[in-house]
Amino acid sequence: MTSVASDRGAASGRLFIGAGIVRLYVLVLAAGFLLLTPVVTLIVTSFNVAPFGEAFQLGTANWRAALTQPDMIVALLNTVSLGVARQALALALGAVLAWLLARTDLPGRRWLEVGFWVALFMPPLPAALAWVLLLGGSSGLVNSALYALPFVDAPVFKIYSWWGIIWVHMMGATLAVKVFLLTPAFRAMDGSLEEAARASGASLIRTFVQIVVPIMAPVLVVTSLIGLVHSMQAFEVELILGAPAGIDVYSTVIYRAMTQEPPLHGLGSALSVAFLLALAPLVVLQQWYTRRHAHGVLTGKARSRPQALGRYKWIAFAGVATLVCLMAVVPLCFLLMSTFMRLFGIFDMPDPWTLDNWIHALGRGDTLRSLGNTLQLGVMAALWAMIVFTGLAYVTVRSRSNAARALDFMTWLPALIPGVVLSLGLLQMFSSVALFRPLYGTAASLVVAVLLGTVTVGVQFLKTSMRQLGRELEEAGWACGGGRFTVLAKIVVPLIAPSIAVVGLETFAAANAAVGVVSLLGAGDNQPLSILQLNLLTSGQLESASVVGFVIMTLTVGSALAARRVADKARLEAAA
Amino acid sequence: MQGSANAAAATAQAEEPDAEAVLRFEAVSRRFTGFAAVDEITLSLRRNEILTLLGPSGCGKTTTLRMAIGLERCTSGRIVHRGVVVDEPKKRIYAPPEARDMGIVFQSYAIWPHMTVFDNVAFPLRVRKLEKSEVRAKVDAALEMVGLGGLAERLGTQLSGGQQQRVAIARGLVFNPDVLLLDEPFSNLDAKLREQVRVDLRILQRELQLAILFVTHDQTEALALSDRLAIMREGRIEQIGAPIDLYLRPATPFVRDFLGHWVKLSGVVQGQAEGMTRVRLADGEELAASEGALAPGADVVAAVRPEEIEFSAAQGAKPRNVIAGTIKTLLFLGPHYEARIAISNGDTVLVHLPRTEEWREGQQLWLRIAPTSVRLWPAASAA
Repeated sequence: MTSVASDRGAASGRLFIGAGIVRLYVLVLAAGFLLLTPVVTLIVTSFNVAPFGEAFQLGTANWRAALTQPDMIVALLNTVSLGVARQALALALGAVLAWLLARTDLPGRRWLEVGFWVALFMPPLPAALAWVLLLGGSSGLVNSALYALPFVDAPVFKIYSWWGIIWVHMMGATLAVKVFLLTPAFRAMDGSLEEAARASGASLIRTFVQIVVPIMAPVLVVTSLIGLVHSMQAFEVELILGAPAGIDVYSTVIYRAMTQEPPLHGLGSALSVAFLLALAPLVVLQQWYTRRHAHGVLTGKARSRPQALGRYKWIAFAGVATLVCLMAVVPLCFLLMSTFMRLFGIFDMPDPWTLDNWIHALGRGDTLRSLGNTLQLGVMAALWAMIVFTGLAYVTVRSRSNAARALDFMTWLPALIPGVVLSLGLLQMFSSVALFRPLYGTAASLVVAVLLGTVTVGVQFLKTSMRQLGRELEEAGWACGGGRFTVLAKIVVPLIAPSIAVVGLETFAAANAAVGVVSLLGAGDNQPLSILQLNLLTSGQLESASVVGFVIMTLTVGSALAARRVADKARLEAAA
Repeated sequence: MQGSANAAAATAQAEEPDAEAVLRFEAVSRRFTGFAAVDEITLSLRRNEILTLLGPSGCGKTTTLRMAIGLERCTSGRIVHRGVVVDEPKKRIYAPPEARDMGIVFQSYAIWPHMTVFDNVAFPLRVRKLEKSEVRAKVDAALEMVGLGGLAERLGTQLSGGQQQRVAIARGLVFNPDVLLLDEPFSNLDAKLREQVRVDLRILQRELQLAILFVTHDQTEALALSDRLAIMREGRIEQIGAPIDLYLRPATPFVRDFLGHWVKLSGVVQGQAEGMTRVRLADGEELAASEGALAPGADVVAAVRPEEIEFSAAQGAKPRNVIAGTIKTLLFLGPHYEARIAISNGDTVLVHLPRTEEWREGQQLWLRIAPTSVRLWPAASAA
């Protein structure tokens, strides 16, 4: 390990010398400015007690209001309890799923993994709508079917509830992201560690519990801490399902403060900053733990066969397949169904089916305009992501200077900021920082928002690909007289082109589904489909919202599948 | 050398069903579509012996070892451990690894990084639900046995490669299995340590009277450690026997060329005289061999171990069984020289020259070959 680190240290001297170091600092400052400004403006705004639209006036009234609001305590407790419960469930289930997919002879595991990938990109808002159709109140399909049972006289499932929120999240990205992060880690584990336990006399289950789980503990803890931070940021599902049940979380309180008339920017900012401060210990804990357990897993080149599940094989298959079906297939099918319903979720009326929703939705000017906006936003964000993220990843991988390390930290920062808070910070930045004011209310501001929302994952993904490139490939380029930029463009980029394409497609998918991060920016002419859907939902137009949601889901799932195809093809070619 | 002892043991062996066998492979195969990783091998591992599977990579040796403990399943044939069938696909019998009671040491050692040395070694005992005090006593004894008495509380990741390997051996032996499987256990150690561990393993095996199935691709290791040696090729056992028998009397050209080096000279059998076979070499010189019943006129390859050749700078008085050569390159290695010699038939051979004489590149020298050192092979077998 140490030799690798010193290799890199030596290489950093090779990579950035003289004028190079100046250029690096300029890059870091520029990125830092863009990444930090939203946070700084939030802090400044939180101390502005002037009424909306008037000149700055310093004061602590916002903070006093934020910290003394009684419903904030309840919202905070809800945020924590929802987050912890989801992570606990997702961790237990995710570890089992990752192990089944990565290390056993589970039938059809390749296809099932693709199913989880689709679920990872399933946009939460449309998916929540599909679950409302199935489990919402007494008219929910499943509930009304259960009425047929003699002892059932009230809805069995209540989607507008604490457990309803947990369910929709679990069936969405919460569990899928665990599977996505853990499966490769489980796959990389040296199989002889398991085989040694079997040879020592341990059964399959004992091996999983006593050997696999403890060895994977660092990865499990880190993904849980990251997941916990993420679940605290959840927004749209809580907004749609929590409001009717009177369940508030931090992000919905902030959102309401910002969208009421006149908007309480100062209070919203104070709440956001308070929330960031509350999250900070979690972030520090995660960083500390990651550093302490950096040894990770002892991996080996020893070949290993998948563990035979024996008599559990088909039981496990049935369980995982059902889950994939619930996560990836059910939302898509029922959302499609709801787009043809005269009244959302009402089946027991004469002639419930109609094409009107589609005709209305497509006939409305703002739907088509929003679709255009969404496509434009997706394409622009994808293009910029491919360029900017590649540059950021390259610098953070290949330079070990302090500036590069600071840059690495800053690419993590946006992941820690809840989408709504980031949206608020950007709103403040675009409206109050002179340099950015020309962008206020433009499509470009949305592109910036989406990029900030996806920078962490995108850069991490590209860093992993770049690390796998042998240094010699670049060094040979330099030795041949290629400059840094030439080597990056002619050698590095072509070699990791599939990964860059995957990042582009993922950003496109994220831009389609983005709600939180653009929620306060995307109004009027620039409104993308996701915000149109949010507005339709909050104003009770569920049928039109279904149509818009289905379009979003199709675009998102389509690009996610395309990304998977590109990645798989590249992997196959690399293997051959 | 231990050669004579091995040779004595070798004369008593035969691949018949074996009363001494602890582990038996009976016509065992592991086939994939269109390809057999292991092809109908029959093999017995006896009490108190080290049996080595040696071969190039992909010959099926590791698959064979993994089938022994059930990490892979055979596709036909059967495997018998202590008289009990543990794998027989035809009768749908298969005992999983945890039910087989065999110790195994992996190439990567597979020391669990989240456990201390003690916990690693205690694991098989705890799985078997032994009393706490008994676990402690047995683990202490096992660690003492491999010379790691003081390191019980270290984490697996805080050990050197050699120490990890000892922990792996202790873990494999702590529950007193009668079979220990070793999958290339020395390949991650440096050369010095490897020699030491080899001797230690030998002593341990003799003390505990273990049956060890040992997989390696390193022929020095295989020759040094084995009581019996099986050379594998493309999923089959090419030859099995005492190392010295395989070394001196290879049964097939593959075994001949796999173990050590030969100087090979092609020629034609002239006839038999005085219990010798006379061979005329390609360049007209004549070579007598004390073996061989090949008919006159047959094309042959005469193979000689380079270490059995005597080299001299002067031709000598009675030049029988002597061929001429020229030193092409000469490297001084310390104990001896390594020389590339062009011999009179045009071939180049790599040999060691003693320090006792002065050599230089370009010099002519003479290779004296004792008739007992010559092995004759039909020419078709030349590799």
